[in-house]
Amino acid sequence: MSLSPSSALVPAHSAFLLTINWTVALSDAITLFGWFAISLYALINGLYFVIHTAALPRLHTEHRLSEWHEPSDKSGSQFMPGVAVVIPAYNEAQVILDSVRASVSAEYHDQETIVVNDGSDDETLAILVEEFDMRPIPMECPIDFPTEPVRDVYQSTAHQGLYVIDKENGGRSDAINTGIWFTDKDLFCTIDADTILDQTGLIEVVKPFLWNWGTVIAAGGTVRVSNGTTFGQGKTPQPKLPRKLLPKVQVLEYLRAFHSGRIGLDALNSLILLSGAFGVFRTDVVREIDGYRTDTIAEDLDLVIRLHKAMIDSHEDYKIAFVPAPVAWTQVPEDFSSFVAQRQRWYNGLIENLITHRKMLFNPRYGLIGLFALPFFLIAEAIGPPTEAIGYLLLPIAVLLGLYEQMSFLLFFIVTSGFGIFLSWYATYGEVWTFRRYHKVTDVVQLLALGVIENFGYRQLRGLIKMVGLVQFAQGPLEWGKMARKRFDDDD
Amino acid sequence: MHEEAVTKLTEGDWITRLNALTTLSLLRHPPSASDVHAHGLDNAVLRGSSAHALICTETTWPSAYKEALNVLYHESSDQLSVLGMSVICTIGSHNAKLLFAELADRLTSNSGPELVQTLLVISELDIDRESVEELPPWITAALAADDAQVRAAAVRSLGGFDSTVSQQPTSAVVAALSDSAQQVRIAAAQVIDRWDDNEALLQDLARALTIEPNSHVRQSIVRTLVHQGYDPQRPLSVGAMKSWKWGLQLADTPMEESV
Repeated sequence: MSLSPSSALVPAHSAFLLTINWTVALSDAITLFGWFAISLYALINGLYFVIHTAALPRLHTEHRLSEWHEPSDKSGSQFMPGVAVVIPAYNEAQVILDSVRASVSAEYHDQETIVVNDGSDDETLAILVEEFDMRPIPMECPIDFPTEPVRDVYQSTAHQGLYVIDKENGGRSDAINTGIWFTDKDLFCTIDADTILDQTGLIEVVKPFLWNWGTVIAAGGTVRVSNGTTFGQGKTPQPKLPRKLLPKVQVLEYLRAFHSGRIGLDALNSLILLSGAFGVFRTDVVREIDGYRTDTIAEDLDLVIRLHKAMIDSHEDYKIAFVPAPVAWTQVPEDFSSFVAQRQRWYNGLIENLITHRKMLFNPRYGLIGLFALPFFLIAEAIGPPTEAIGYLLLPIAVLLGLYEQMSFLLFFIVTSGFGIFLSWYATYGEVWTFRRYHKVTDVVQLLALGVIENFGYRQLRGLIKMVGLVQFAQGPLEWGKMARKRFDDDD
Repeated sequence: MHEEAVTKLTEGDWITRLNALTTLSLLRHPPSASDVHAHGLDNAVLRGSSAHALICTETTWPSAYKEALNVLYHESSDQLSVLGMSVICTIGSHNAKLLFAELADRLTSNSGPELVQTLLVISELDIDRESVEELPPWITAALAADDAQVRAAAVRSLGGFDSTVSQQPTSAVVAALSDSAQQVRIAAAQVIDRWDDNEALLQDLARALTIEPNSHVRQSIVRTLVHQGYDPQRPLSVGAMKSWKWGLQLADTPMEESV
């Protein structure tokens, strides 16, 4: 066989490459990705639909129960467990007073408030000392704290059961652990320093502990957006939607997350996340698993997963619950950079926890937690968003270049944003049907409109943040970052 | 209005019936035992409301108490609601003798949440020798239970018995001071604070302070000693001394008048 001079000089693999039609190959690859994204989101939407469907009747029941008034004064009942409200604070001078005022005025018989000043270098400690007439206890605290050193403990002379622990900086987890080890109450409740508890919040959030005595080890309540609402003297007035679009769209997002997501997962016995801004736990159980981990940025998620693991491994009957009635009001980012930092931290925290607890994933030993909850978060919250972001970047360009069919892109849009609109309206309906804290018609109309608007920009932005976050996760650990604080009585 | 409430009690879902029972309680119109047994036993909250409604008027108390306890400790029950616990507390406050007589058979073989909750109710009562001459067997058994939570609740329940009842309560509390579980030791320290004329017990408590390894238990011990005005007056370990001084400082903090 004779070869032409040119073919004799070309290596075999290069010859192979030269025979490929790159345009067709690219088109095929994009089509394959497109179908993968559509199939993935069809699966994710199916899971969301199951969760949201489980949520609605449960939400309605919880609302009806929250309107039932016991024929005895429960706030003073000697049989209610004691609760320590632990507020970790790092440079929270702008917001800490309202949060503490709300805690000390909570309607609850046996509670104490422990603010842990985690090495702030602003006026947080000074403000607390002055406002609440705090007196330093001139003795070394005899508790064996497994945390960074405690400098001083202050006790309020104006409010029974209000303490401030001043310590070396160790991070949020370290600060909460200090509070957990300090208290002798049966339960502790974590509240962020920029969060205000409803007056009846404690009474409502301990209900699961009472209705399943000895079984419930943790419970979470609803976190709502405080931006736009004026808070005076720690009391909660009628909430208003924020004026700015960024915090306003987060109102809807929080409604979806809590009124549909959390309660649906609870109904399916698959709750692996209580908000770090508002959760109640059995003190003894958390101490037994050595408290919060200090080497993670999503310590709230990690704690709940470890609680599940510990209880399942020890074959103990337990429950982690969610109640929608009790509300804590928190500030959400209003500026773009704070928002991006927060969402990257949440996403990277999720990835980190999925890796840390990977042995529980798809593991039948861990029941619904291993077979449903963790896989759901992996697929819907970890893999889904970056896939969607790539789709929104890649597919429109491919359509313009004729490499991808228009109808296929429309299908992609329907299964992502289209279903997203449905879920938002579903959550809004749940809000209107039940607790309806936003009771004005104009507020409801705005929420419905936001359900559409957020799919043209905001949704894609979230996906992009997560996609970038994935790259950053691979590069190294994230820190908490800084969020611009506003006083609670600042109306925007 | 009570007729409407009675109608709702026999119809509708459990939340409707819950509201109906609450209405009957507020109207001081107890439901019939048959209605309660047919519609008021689904869960602990409903049973608690049923029991509360049964004893809502003083005129029905003596006979209603037994019926209320029948409801609360129904065979389908495994725990009590807070309202149910309040009802038991009410019954115990008015007629401790009847309460203990009714509980005797119901709790003999019980070891779950219901037992713990009942023990916590007992701890809130003031039971004298006229009502109960000695500790019931089910409390004695609970003091020796495998579950530390049950033991701790049993120790707390001893606080409901006054010093005229037999020596059993005080002996049990002294034994609990050296229990392996810290929650039991904490309960023992707190119970001692409930009793008057407890010099001997305070001496035992002071002794326990010197050897207690856990800082939280030491805090409970110190709290009782400080509240009772009892100075340990013995050489204390470093940890015990820190706890003692800390407890004194906390007790010394003057509270301002409420604004």
